[in-house]
Parts: sequence; structure tokens; C-alpha cells
Amino acid sequence: MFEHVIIGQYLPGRSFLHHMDARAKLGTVFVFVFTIFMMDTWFGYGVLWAAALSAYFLSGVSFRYMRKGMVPIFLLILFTFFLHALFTQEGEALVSAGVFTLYAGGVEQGAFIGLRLLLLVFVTSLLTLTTSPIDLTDALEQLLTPLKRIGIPAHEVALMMSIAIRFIPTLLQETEKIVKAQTARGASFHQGSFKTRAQAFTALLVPLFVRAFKRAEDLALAMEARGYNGGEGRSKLRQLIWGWRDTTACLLVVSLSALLVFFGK
Amino acid sequence: MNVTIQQLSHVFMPNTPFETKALQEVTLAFPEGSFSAVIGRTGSGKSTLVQHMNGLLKPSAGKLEIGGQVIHPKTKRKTLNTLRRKVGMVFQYPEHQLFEETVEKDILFGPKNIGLSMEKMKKKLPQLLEQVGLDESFLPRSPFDLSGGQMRRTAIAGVLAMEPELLILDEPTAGLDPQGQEDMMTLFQEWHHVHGTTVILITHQMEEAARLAEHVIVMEEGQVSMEGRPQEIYERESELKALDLDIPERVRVLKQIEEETGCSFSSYSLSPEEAVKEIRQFRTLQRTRRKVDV
Repeated sequence: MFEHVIIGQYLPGRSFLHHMDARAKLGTVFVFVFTIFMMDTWFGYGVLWAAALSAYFLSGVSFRYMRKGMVPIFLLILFTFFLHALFTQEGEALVSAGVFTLYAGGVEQGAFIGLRLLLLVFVTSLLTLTTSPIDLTDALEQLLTPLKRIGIPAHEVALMMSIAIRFIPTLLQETEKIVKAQTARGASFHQGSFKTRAQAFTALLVPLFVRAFKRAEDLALAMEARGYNGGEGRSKLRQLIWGWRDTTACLLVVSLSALLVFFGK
Repeated sequence: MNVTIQQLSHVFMPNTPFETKALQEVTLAFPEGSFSAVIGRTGSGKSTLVQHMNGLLKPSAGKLEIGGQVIHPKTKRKTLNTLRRKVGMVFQYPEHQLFEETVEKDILFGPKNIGLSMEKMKKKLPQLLEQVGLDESFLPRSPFDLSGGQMRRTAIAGVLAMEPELLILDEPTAGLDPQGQEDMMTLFQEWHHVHGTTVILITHQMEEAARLAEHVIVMEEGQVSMEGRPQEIYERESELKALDLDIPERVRVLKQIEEETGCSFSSYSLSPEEAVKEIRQFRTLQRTRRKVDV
């Protein structure tokens, strides 16, 4: 039922991107996203797309899989496109129908924003598809550590994130199970009036929340039973290792975005 | 309700790296009014198989026929609703599906959805509660205040209240204490006798299968690896061992007695008392034979 959701899903593999250090990936994606927001020329976007696509070819993720993941986001992008296309009043008037007039500037703006959104989702999906959630939170924790001085609880934030990520599939499974159980009792999630569907969703949400709280309690208890008492003095089982790939990738991305930001306008 | 399954296959997440073949060309039949058990280790495809029977899953290939209704890969979702009126399913840990404010409302959720008369149902409730081992005083209580065992009984009552013609039980005794397991099994046995419901029980406890089922199906890696009466299945002890399944303690004891004494039992699902009776009969028979020989 939730088979098509690829956001936050990790695809194990042995590609260039898989072998990179999670810190490097997180850093480069951050710089990349930053650059996306700085760009406002077609040339800049062309370069960024080219860079993103070459990163994609290094990832070894199959095209079909990527496309399937992009489909749900496509609706959002389409919606944004039309919003911009209809309400931006710049450039020549192209078509006019009733109160709406379509301007060339609007279409351009819409396409622009649409491409930007798609690029954002594309790049961040590449990150999560090639990095295991554990590596990702470890990297985040390390990158946040300097901020401890100004009172940001790096370890706790990372732990919260990793627990949240860890429980996404569990909750999805749980949802699927309860949907099935209630469907078997005649609840209808896919058809019928708004009222019957709303009722069906109560029958889903109540047990889901009850289970989630129960799970959280169990987890807290299990962690305490194993002597967990915060991040102070904890060592790590997995060490993140910085290699030549990471240095190369960081240099490439940073110089690319510097060039684009200073000269791409 | 007759259930026939032909060449049924099911593939999860096709065309992704996570593709798994959960069922491969399964062909089976469950005759009307029968009590069957499906056993096999975790991941052998038991749950996937039965979820086809009330339309929660559609086959990837092959077809199944349930009480005259045919389901094949292209069956429309809407037509599956009629199936759910006739097929009741008790999932693993059914207490996880409770959600209403009171036990009464929760039990009536299913019957209401499939359009049974509420007035008739309310009259039947006390009797139903008694059958599952609760009583009328539970009706106004919140299901979340009950003990684990009571919650399970409430959830099962909610499925039985839909008066299914085919009842599917997916490990209904998992996580209960021995007495609770015993009570549950007696409940399903009685329900089967009184209502003549066709029952399919999924379990990995051989003991349960041995006691209740007249037909046992052993699944392995999405295929049927053995099928037959419980006695026939227990004959193949080494094959069962290879599948991580064990013959029940009581069967082992009875078999040992057979081997050592030469007595042969009418069935391996005998209770200790019945077994003693048959051994006595066998002995008197032996004695009279000896006398005749002399």
C-alpha cells in the first residue's frame, strides 16, 4: 500500500555515492540546496541539473525506481506551476480566458519554480537513497557538535531523528496491518461517503496512536534497562571515515557553487 | 463455504529491488464445513495466502473461488466488498484493532458496516460475550481498560458478531497464557460445531493443529509442501524437522507407545484419558487372543 513512497528510504548498494562519507554527502547537499536557492537564471539551473544528473549516474539507482519516487511529488510541482503561471502578471499576454490571463512571464516563472522544486527533491532523494539512516544521523550529530556550546543538544537531536526515522517503516507496517484488520471488519477506506470514510479513519488512527505510545514507552524502558543515560561519554561502534571521494566531491561542489553564485548571474 | 485455489501466485513490490515471491502456484481446496490448519515457519506465505480469501490481497497470477465468487488478478476492488460480508478474519494480535469508546460499540462496528440489523445484534450480544468468555457487564466498559486476554476476546467477538460463513484465524492464541490458549481453542472448536462454519486456522503450533483440524496444510517458501490428515502429516517426522516444525508432544508419546507395545491408536489427537481407554481395550483384546491361541 505504501510501496511507492521512496522519501527517506535507503537502497543498499556499492556505488561511488554509497561509499562516500555521510558527513561529506550531508555537507555537499546542504551547499547544493543553498546554491539552488541563490540561482535565478536558466544557465545556472542548467549547470545545477547537469551536476545533479551526473551525481545520479554515480549512484547506481535505477531510473524506474527514481521515477516512481518522483511521481507523488509531481502533483505538488504541477500545482505550484499553475499557481505561478496564473498569478504572475509579467511579460506578454499569451492567452486570456475570463478573469485569467496567461502571461509569458508567468509561465516562465512557473516552469522555473517547478524545476527548482524537482531539483530539490531529486538531490535530497539521492542523499537518502544512498545513505543509511544511521550514517546520516551520526553525520548530523558530528556536524552539530560544535553548536553544543550555544546550547543545542546535538546528541539528543540526532537520537530523536534516528528514532523517528527508525519507526517510519514500523508505523507504515502498523498502519497497513490495521487498515487490513478494519477492512476485514467492513470499514471502507477507498469508497463511500465522506462520513463512512471519516469513520474508517477513526478506526485506523485510534489504534495507531495507542500502539505508538505503547511502543515509545517500551522503547524508553528498554533503553533505560540497558543503561542509557544520555550522550555524555558515549563512544561509537561505527566510525565515519573520510576518504579521497569525499574531499573530491566537496571541492567540486563548493567550487561549482562559488563560481555559480559569483559569476552565474 | 467452499474455497478452491488454483495456481495462485503473489509477488510483493514487483519490479523493485525488494521484489519477493510470497506465493508460487499454490493449488488447494477447503471444502464447506471443514476445519483446516495451515502451518509453516515465519515467512512461509501462510498469512499472504489467507489474506487473498477476503480480498485484502489480489492474486498476481492464478485465481481463487470462494463460495461461488471468483477472484483473479483483474477483479475490481468494489466487488471484493461482498466477499467481506461472508468471510471473517481474526488477525494476529486482534486486540490492536480496538478503537471504540465501549466494548459494545467496538463489537458492533463490523456488523454495522456490513448492514446487519442492530436490534437483533444487540439481543445476541450477551450470548456472544458469554461464548467468548466475557459477560454483559463488559459492554459499557472501555476496551482500553481491559486486560490483554479480555481485549483479545472482545476483538474476536467483534469478528464473530459478523456471523461469517468462512472464519480465518491467523495465530489467534499467540501471546496468551496456556489457560487462555486452551480457552480460545475450545471457543473456536465449539463455534465450528454449533454454526458449521468453515474454519481455516493458521498456526505454527502443531499441538493446536493436531487438536482441532481434520486437514493440515504445511507451507514452505510460498509453496504447499505437505497436505493431508494430521495423522498422515505426523508420519513424515523427518520432513517436518527439516522445516523447523515439530510433531506435538502428545503425538510423540502415542507413537512411542505404539512402537513399544504394538498397540495402534485410532487417532493421534487423543486426549490422555481416551488414550488410556484404547490401551486398555488393546490389552483385553490381546489377552482374549492369547486365550484363543492357547
